[in-house]
Amino acid sequence: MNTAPSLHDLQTDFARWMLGEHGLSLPEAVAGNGLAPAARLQIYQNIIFNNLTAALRTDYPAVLKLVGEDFFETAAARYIRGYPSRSGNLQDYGAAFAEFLAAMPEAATLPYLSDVARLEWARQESYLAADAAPLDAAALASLPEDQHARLCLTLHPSLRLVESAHPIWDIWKFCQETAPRRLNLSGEGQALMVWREASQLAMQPVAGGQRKFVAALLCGTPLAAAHKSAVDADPDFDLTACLHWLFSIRLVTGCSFA
Amino acid sequence: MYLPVSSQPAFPARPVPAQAGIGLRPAHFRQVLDEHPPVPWLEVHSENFFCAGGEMLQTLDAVRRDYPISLHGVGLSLGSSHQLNEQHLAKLRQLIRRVEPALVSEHLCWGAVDGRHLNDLLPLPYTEESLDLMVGRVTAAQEFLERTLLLENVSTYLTYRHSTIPEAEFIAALAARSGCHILLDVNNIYVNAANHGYDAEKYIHAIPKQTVKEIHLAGFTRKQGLPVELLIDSHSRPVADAVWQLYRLALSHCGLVPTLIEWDRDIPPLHVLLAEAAKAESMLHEYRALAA
Repeated sequence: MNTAPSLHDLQTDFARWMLGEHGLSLPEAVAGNGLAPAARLQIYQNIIFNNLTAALRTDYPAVLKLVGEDFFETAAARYIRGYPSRSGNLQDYGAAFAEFLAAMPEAATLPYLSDVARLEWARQESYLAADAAPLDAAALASLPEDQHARLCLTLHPSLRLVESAHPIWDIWKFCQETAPRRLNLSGEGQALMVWREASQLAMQPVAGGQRKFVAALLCGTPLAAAHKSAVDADPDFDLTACLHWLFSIRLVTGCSFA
Repeated sequence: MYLPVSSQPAFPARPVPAQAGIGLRPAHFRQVLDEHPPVPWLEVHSENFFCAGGEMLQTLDAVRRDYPISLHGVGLSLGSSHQLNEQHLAKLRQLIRRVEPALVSEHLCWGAVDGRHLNDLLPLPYTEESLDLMVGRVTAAQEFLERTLLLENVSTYLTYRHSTIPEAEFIAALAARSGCHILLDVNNIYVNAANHGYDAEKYIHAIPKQTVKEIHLAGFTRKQGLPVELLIDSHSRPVADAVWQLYRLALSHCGLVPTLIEWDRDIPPLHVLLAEAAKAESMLHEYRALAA
């Protein structure tokens, strides 16, 4: 940079330098003023990495607890370089952390880690999701029975279903405890519903027909087909009880016809 | 100057008074809602409320009913050479329409290029090119938001060899050409004066006083192990004595201006923040008495 760089060139090189690219002429544009220009850039690099790492720590406390400080810092630094932030809002940063952890060689011995990250991102999404008023169950009761097959239920925007081949509910509870205890990681896979109840996050494991039913409704499947997929998985599935439960926790917010 | 347009305001208008408020962070939401501390106004970070629903927005609505509110943005990146971030701006407009804040502010900085965000308040070279860009961006943002923006001077840890305009002149020219107002961060002036060896008092005198509509105060930390003095705008400490001195000077230059205590790391109990605000209030009171 013998001549002054354009603002766009300067900012492009600045961003590349911060994310670890070397061999740029950027330091030539920086006044040293008693320090090496690279040392001044390094201050910004530290601040940027600290800010983004702090955002990941806030979003992924259970992952942090499972892997410890050193591993988390390493993972975060590598994630920041590989998955640059795409938003001016730090709340949006970290969406692909589960995907990153699934492919991280050092995490291969922790096959459940990426699912824990998926659960934590689901919690973040749920916390920030739109509000919606619950539907009165009486609205359904008044429908003629022959219309039930085409009926689609809309569930609350904060509802997420996180399914795992690992005992993710047990792992989650383990992470919330202060006293260390043994955790059986070889248990069966679990699924968790995450949603907002009176503005606070709620979580509950779901299994069998209930899990299939909720998964189907979340995909927009009409009631009759969702019922069928639940019964296929669990012949004892009780549709009335399940619907009553979903209404009681105010998760049904609308209905339409397919 | 753009006036907010709103057919049916959801909240009564509550201008921010020329008194000392505090930056409200999620750590103190519950306590502020429960105890309703007697603080004259509050400022929040706009981006914390860019969500679709839930507890954050409910809290902001509740706080807005009881206090004058200022929205302080940290992520718009007005100084980015690529186009203005319209998505970010649209979310800000939605939030402005929802809470009808008394003030809306952002920073004289950049933070992203070509869609790649660094999520920090990064220094611009103070050149004619940067000034033209900032004037255009601030003008466009003000038109879109239908608001006059307050632009804040940021702390910096480097300067560019090709900068040609002193920072105070740059921000003064930006205000003159775009019609924006200035959020004068007195701590940032102190930090930059120490980091880059310029005169903080001269800086304040170069600011057109009628454009200053808010003052920020915060604590800095000193970076250790460097051959030169380097202060970091950490927002993690009480306001330094030297910054209080500079604040008095800013008041004597600008007159009575709404003043805000910011604290973002190692956030102390609420009463510590309120005590810092009370200290600022006592200095405002001195100048109020002088002016009377």
